[in-house]
Amino acid sequence: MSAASIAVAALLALARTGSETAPAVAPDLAAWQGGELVALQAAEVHLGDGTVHRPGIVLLQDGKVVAAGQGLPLPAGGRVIDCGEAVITPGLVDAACQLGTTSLFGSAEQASEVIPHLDTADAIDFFSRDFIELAAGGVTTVYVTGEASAVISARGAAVKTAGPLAERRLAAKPCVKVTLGPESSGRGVFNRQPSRFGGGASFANRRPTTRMGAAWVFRKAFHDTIAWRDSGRPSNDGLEPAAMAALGEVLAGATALRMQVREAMDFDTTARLADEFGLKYSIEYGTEAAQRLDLLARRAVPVIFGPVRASDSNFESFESAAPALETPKLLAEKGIPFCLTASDGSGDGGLARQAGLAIRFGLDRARALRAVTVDAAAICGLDQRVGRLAPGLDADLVVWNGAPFDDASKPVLVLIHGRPVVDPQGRFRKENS
Amino acid sequence: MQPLVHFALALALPPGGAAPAAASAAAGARVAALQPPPLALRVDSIVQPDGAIGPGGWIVVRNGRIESVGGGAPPAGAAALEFAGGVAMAGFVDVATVLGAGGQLSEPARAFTPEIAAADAFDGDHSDFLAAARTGVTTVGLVPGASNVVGGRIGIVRTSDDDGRGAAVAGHGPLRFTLTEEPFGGLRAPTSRMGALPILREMLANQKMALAGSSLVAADTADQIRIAVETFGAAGRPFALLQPARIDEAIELVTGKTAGAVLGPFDLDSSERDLRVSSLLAAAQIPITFTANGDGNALRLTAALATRSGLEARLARAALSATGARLLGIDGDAGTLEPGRRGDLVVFDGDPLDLAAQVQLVLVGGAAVATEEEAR
Repeated sequence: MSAASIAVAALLALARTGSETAPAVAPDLAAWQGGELVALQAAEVHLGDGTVHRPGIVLLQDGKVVAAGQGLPLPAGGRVIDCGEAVITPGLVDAACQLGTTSLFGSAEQASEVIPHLDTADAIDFFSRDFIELAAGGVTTVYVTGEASAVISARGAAVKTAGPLAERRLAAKPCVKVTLGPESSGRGVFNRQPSRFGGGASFANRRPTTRMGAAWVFRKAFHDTIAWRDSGRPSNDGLEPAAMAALGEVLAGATALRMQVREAMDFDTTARLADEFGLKYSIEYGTEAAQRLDLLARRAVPVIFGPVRASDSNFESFESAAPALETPKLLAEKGIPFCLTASDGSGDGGLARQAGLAIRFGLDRARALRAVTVDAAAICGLDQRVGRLAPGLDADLVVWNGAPFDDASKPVLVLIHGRPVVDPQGRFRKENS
Repeated sequence: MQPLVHFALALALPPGGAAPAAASAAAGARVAALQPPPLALRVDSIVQPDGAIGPGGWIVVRNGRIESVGGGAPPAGAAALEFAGGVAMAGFVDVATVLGAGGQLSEPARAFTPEIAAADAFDGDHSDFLAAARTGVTTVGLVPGASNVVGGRIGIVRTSDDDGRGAAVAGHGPLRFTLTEEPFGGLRAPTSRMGALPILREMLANQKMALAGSSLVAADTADQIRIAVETFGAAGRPFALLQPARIDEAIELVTGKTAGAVLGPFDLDSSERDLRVSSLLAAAQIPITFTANGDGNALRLTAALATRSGLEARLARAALSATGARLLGIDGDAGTLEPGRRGDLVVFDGDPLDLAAQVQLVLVGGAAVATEEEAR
């Protein structure tokens, strides 16, 4: 074992015991990159597909996982990092992140209700502190989803939370976001002004202000697209050809459709609208999914569930008073494909916390891990890149100082593409980004 | 909106910086007889094109242009002026000012207005220009404002006309772009960077002609700078960054990718972090120029503070004139003291970076700018 790896091991030991003492030796993590073969040993290694090795080894090289399992040969002359009693999991994946854009509503294009031709990648601030906080919380890949103020919003974009810029972007399955509940009408900036300043609906601004209006925008956009596709008729609602071309991809099944739905009645509207145009879809957030389990199971609709939010006196979901805390357990029992999201949460309100709450309210630990790794990656079409510790996949992993998702546990080392981006002192390693 | 049509219109505007057409030999001889005698200035030091302070000598200006630099004797019949201790350099070029604008320089009707030219909002009689000229500024860019993603053509303005009064438009300069948040959020499409970038990319990809100089792109944060590098790089269009405050987080991204950066103004309240940007860019071989809304004294303060924070003095002097002229695409005409360039120069009684140094003489197009006292 080299001096550097001893230093890392010592730091990990400090982190495990929760010592507040500042370590005297800085880890030599910066030099750890390039073609060197690195082995991480730990008491537990979770591969992400449900397999657990106790103890286990992960071999990394050139930013990829070479092998993961038990009793693997340690590299001769390579670097061996002994993580002792720590637990290694794949890096976490959030399939419906709302962080990292240029400002709170920075990705909100208010000029049209139908913007499927726009790309959320153009709204991402790759230097945002949000990404550093996500990485520190063990989240290594996020799918930044379209903003909710347009009825048919933009394509989402998948990015790594750290690493060199050239390696940050991932090719997710193309996916357009739709918001049918009250949010699209409520968030429209042209609707939010007091009426004396021209707010509210008028002949000059005809955004939908109701559920009915939002559903009609959706329906009309697809009707216009079909007419344009079949007979070249331009939209009489001013939809740009680029927007209709993007919706044509949705009709053809080449682009996925993701419906932001929170309240129970919107699950029904979504199903009805999808049937009118023969569309497949997934559900984002799904706050009241527990009230529509049969509908979701019958149609095998994937649900990107969350976040549930805790307060001192009671648990309450974002918009609904209905308890949502047992929903992950219920989704699992019903065989509905699902993953978890923290939406705009990071740190203690982040994805690990969502997994922890799901476990506390009945979801088994292995399934909770899948719900924030491989299952989330699969819903985004990223499961051949991230979400598991398997040969050829990106070497994105988290070393936890205890059982993952327990309140007492935290990430003590986070690797993206095999590079340490968060060190055992919780510091973000900018030189690796 | 049909931005591409407007873009074609913008390209139809004549470029700035063209040298005057040569007259025929016979006409030239008649005109020469009517010309005033050449002006010869003797100074102790001359700032070289690279910004270094070199040996002095005679500088001869004839017919509004520099004829020779550093000669040992004035030509016969020249009006000779000697400046003991004098340091001559090319007149300052501030590429990003709003000097003498008649009304707003932002046209809020649309977010993409490449057809707009700031020179059309130019008031030549405005006292701003004479004030700028007296502090050593001989050329300014009149820039469209920050409210549009594509703001329009920069006006290139000489701060004094041939009679030493007012100012003259020398042409239409490069386009000004804004990639900060300023163009967004109003009741106008698009309301977001996400909505704007596809339109911008289409405009940049569809125009084939090259405009003189470098597009001036306002970008503040590291990510806005990234967007500039990617968007203009993909279109193969040269660009300079306007006031890129957080370029220190994106040095690797821009190295070798940008034509330069317009920094400042700096003053005694500027943070050390902001001041150090100049030397960081210089170390990365990125050309820099300074802006201070056409105030030569503020430009010198800006340059001096950048020097205090690590910028090589030579580069600070080049940043006051040569780099700005290059970014505006008029470096064949202005920005350096070389034979053939316009007679735009300023003589100080010391190093221009020494704030105690005073302006002794300013020539714009070979004509002396009257001091305040002389004008009274």
